[in-house]
Amino acid sequence: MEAETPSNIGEVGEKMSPAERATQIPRGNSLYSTPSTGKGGFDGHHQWGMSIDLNTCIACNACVVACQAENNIPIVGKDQSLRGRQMHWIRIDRYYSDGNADAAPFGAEGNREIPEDPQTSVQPVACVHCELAPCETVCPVNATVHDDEGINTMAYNRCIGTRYCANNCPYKVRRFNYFDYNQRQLDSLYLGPMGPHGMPELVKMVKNPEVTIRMRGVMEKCTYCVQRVENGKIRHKVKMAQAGTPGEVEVPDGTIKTACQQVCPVEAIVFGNILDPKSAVSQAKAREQDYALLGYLNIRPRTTYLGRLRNPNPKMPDYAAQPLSRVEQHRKNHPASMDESEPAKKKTPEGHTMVPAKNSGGLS
Amino acid sequence: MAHAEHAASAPILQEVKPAVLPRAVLVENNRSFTWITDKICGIIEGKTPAWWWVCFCVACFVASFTVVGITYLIATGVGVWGHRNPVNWGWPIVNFVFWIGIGHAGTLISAILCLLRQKWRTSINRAAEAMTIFAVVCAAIFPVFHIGRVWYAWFLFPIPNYNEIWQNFRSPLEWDVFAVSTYGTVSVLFWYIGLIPDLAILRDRFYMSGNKLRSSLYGFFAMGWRGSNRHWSNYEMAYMILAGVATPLVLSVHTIVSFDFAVSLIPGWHTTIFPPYFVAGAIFSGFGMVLTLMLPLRAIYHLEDLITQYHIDCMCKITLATGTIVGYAYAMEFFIAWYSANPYEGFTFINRAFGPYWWSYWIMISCNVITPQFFWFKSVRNNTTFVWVLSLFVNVGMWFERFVIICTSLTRDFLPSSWGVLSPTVVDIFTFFGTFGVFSVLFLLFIRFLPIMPMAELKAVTPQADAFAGDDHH
Repeated sequence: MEAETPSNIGEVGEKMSPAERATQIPRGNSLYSTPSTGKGGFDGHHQWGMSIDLNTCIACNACVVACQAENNIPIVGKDQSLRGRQMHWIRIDRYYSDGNADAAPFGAEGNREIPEDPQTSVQPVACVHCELAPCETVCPVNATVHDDEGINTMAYNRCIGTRYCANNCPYKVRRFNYFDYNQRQLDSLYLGPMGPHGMPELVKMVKNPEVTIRMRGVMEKCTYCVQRVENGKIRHKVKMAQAGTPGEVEVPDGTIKTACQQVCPVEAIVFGNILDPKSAVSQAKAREQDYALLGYLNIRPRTTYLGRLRNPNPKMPDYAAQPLSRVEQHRKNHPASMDESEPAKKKTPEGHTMVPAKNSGGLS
Repeated sequence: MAHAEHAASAPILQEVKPAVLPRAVLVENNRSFTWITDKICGIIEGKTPAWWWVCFCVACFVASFTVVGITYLIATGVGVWGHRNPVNWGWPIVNFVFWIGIGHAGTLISAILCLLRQKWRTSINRAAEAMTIFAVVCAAIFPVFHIGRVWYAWFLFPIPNYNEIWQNFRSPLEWDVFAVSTYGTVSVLFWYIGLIPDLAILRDRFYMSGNKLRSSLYGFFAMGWRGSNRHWSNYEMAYMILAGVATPLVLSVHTIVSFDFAVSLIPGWHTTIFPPYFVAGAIFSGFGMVLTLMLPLRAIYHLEDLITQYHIDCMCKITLATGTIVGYAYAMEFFIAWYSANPYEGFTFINRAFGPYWWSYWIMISCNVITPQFFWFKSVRNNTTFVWVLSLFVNVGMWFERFVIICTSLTRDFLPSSWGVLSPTVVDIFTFFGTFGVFSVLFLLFIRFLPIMPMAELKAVTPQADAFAGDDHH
């Protein structure tokens, strides 16, 4: 897809590094320039970006939970989840495949049923902070705007909840508070003001005081943990002032960690300043594997992914025809138990396909 | 030269007998001016008929669904409607576009047909304009109340505020605010200006019959109209200016409503065909609704002499023309989806026709493309009952068109991980159903208290108003 669509940043822009692109042509060739206090465009000291490595991600969901705890994301309960109203700012996308499905475009029969032992490709998706964010152009009240460090921010007080931004987000990462999830009880959401009101004392103690608790009717989404970013900048400024070098405002790489990054057990998530070529995130983005999800839309996301790799050489020890499925992982990691697991699998041939089925059955 | 050649050759015809094609008469049976005044004022002056009370009570009851539904929504949250993550606009926006579309025929009839000197518009324009205004009222309910915090809806207007925050003038929703409010204002003005001479007639008639209260009420709104030459000349100038102002609005409103979709990047929305296609669809649905309302009115009040078969013919033909344009647009969307070679676009359209919401697509096609084709036949156009039934299908089809556009595109966009389904809740359905009650209440009040046809304009198109009437050589 990406190769077919000409980029709108011109030949010069194509050759630039992400950092140069962010600062020199912040809006591509758009006639609209970002309102700013300075030169115009993204002229902060930092330009924040993120890289997520799909090779190491194990879909443990720790990032989802950490984000929920850090950002005071309300729990919506089973009923609301079934209605598609989860509030998580980061989610793990799963794509199931087997060899047949992949072969379909090349003339093979393809696969019309749920694969017996599917390979799962996972991808954590949160707001990718597009430089040319489609959500920003459509908000009628300017409630979602860019700051000068490239973060796509939400002005909760300004938001009236038209939800146009969420419709226009190609990643569908924006979350809307359909009821007053923070103030009302999950079992009496539909009673409205007739139900009990207010947050229980214990729940109040769970909340992070650094982060606003959003009311109903307001759109919310990943902020790159803007409270951590601001704290990091302030602490660094104080430290530099104490050290007698107040001019050095650039925060050293690795000082600021987003909540999802901090808990990731495999360090798949890297966050930092893309203006600094030595930062971990810049180095990750410089790798050839780096790609932008839906990049062909010319929206220039700040979060990019390191594509999943496998070794296609059958003579190599880590050879894999496909990204490994659960059974293959098991065989590889526990060669000793291979003989035991094989007959067990035959006894319940549908065992593996039952896993997703059980999940959905439990929810409905 | 030519003359000479003609004279030389033998005449082809011995005698030339041009066929006499009578112009369609707009007021039949040679009705007098008095008859027209008595007929139209009689509807208001007469005793309130029993059917009116029955309809009014039913309409009030149905309208209460909307009132209750909206109250519950504000108290509880937008979650009582069937929105969910990928489908952030559901039924309410479908209903909004549906009602705004219906509100199109009124101004088209009054403004564009006025400028084009289509005299047949006179007997239907008043009611169609009223329909427009009431449809805009129903339409406005949905975008206002579907927002999360309706008490901050004033953020949409450029009111000076302490934080000096402006609206986002790049957002099509912001354009909508101006487009729809301008359209509503101009429609009301246009309607009101047209009403002034007729209100003065009612003022005088009620004064004569001794009803001082109603006389002064109509007199207040007639603004001292005395029917002097000067009044008429100012009136006609004002009417023409407003017709000129309203004409671009007919095209702009639905164009801007279509921008809500066309300016976004969702497959199936992101197309340049939307503005003309939406305007044609709006006129189509507007005329559908005019037929739905005017045909029963004509039968109940015996207005066959004023709304003639010629009028119905004209409306059917416009419905046929716009319905066919809409059908062409459907075909062109498919063609472009294939021709653009964009896989997302291609998938969206195949998914529309054969995906989980295939039934809504085929309802749309059969109601909007196949139904109007019946209007090719004169026998169909002459059968009032059948025309009325077909007009209902047009209304249904146009609701489904908006449903198809909004629902199929949002449920299946870029990332399959975020696909979803849209199912309305009971509150959704009843709130929408209730707006038909709101509309009916307003329309019933209109036919009871205001002249449903412009009397002065009707008199101008009667055969006896024509100085050359009966003269075949004009």
